[in-house]
Amino acid sequence: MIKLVSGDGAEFEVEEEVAFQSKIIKDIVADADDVIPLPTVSSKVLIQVIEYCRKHAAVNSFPLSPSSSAAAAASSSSSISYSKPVSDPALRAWDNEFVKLNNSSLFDIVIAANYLDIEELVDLVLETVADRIKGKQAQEIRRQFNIENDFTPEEEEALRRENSWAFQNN
Amino acid sequence: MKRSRARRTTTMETELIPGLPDCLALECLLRLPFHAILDARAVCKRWKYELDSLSFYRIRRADGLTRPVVSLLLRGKIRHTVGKFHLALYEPDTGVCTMRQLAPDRPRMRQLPPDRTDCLNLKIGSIAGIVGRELVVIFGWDAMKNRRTGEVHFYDLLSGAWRPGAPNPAPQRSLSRNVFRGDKLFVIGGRDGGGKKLRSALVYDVPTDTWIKIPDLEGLGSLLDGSFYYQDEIIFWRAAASDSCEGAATGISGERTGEGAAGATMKLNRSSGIDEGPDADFLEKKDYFMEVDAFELPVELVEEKDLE
Repeated sequence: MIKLVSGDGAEFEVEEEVAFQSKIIKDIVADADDVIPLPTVSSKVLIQVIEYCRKHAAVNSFPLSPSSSAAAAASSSSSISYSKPVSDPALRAWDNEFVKLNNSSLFDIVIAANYLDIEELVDLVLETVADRIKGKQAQEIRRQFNIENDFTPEEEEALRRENSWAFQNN
Repeated sequence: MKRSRARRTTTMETELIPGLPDCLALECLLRLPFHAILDARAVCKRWKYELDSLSFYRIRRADGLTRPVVSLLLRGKIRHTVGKFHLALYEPDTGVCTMRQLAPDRPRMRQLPPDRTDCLNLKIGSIAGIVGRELVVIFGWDAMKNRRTGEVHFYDLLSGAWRPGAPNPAPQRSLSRNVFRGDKLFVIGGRDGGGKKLRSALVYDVPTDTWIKIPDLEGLGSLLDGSFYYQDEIIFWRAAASDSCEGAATGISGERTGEGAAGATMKLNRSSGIDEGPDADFLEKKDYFMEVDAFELPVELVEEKDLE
């Protein structure tokens, strides 16, 4: 068992194969003890990240094995950018439920996942955020992500003209 | 893979997405399909700056995040659309299809000086291709002098702006074989203004906006057997008139594995002494269906009646 300590001092005991979904933790454990302080990760976020790792560790019985990096290399040319093809439909469905969070919670998770180097989780969240951008008009995107419109009305009008496609099917 | 590609410039202090480090926010934008980029450009200045930068598309390509976009250039033949060009883009991944009239604000052509880039003299004989995120249109028609012009125009698919390129130095060349490959246009063979048969070729390199003349084809390729090579790459292939190319053509049409595979098959045929291959028309048609990186599909030039 490996003990993870969140920024607010809470301790979480997890199995090795769960913790090793994070490449950073795997590297640390290789040459240090089994208590790992994660000062930048809050317990709320760490609970969610552990939940994700537990689920994926159970499904991928061989986490971070050489074959997974081979699969990542093979899939990098496809348009789907998951580092590893999540082929199990049940796991895909679970992932889709997992990311049904508001933007700021998602951002906290992706920052932690990036810090812990859990590539699959980073990709999952980035893909989700991209999905929330696409298919929306600029005004909706600004509202959703709290972005300030710094264009002048004239610049906006020019952009609107540039993007005036005569026909769009959706 | 650590993510730390976002540019840090002193003039742009606002975050791309509030609450998310720029390196991760940029990764989100890199994952947008082409049509979403069109809307995202209008969000704020910072987004527009990122989405218009060349490096953004370089990273997309390097990371395998580009998606195929099928492009179709339509020339109007029916009432209200005569002579007007429409560009249609279809993204198979998302199913989004858009169409826009090129130069929508174009006033009547006759009242404009001939060097206005927003009044394209597009005509039969114009060649179009997509390189990077621009549509390249080569050759036009001077209606006053009734002859072909060598003008080159670039159309930015994102901003809708036109810019001129270096004109073809020998626009009078006719009946040449024109082939887009990657970011180069090959104008091969044909006849000069006096009707003399030419065995030279012109290569237009789009990124550097330069025309290169290849005076003698013998070293690089040959027009004698109807095929043409450039730097070991087959540019076009034509079966000798006496040969039947049915067999070879059928064999290749069965596989849609892309340019490389088709080229390899043809080279194989050639090296084993079988002087057969699909003719160039077939090759050009096939291009249209090939999955290439986003924005790199050659443009198919069609007229409206062909669609019915």
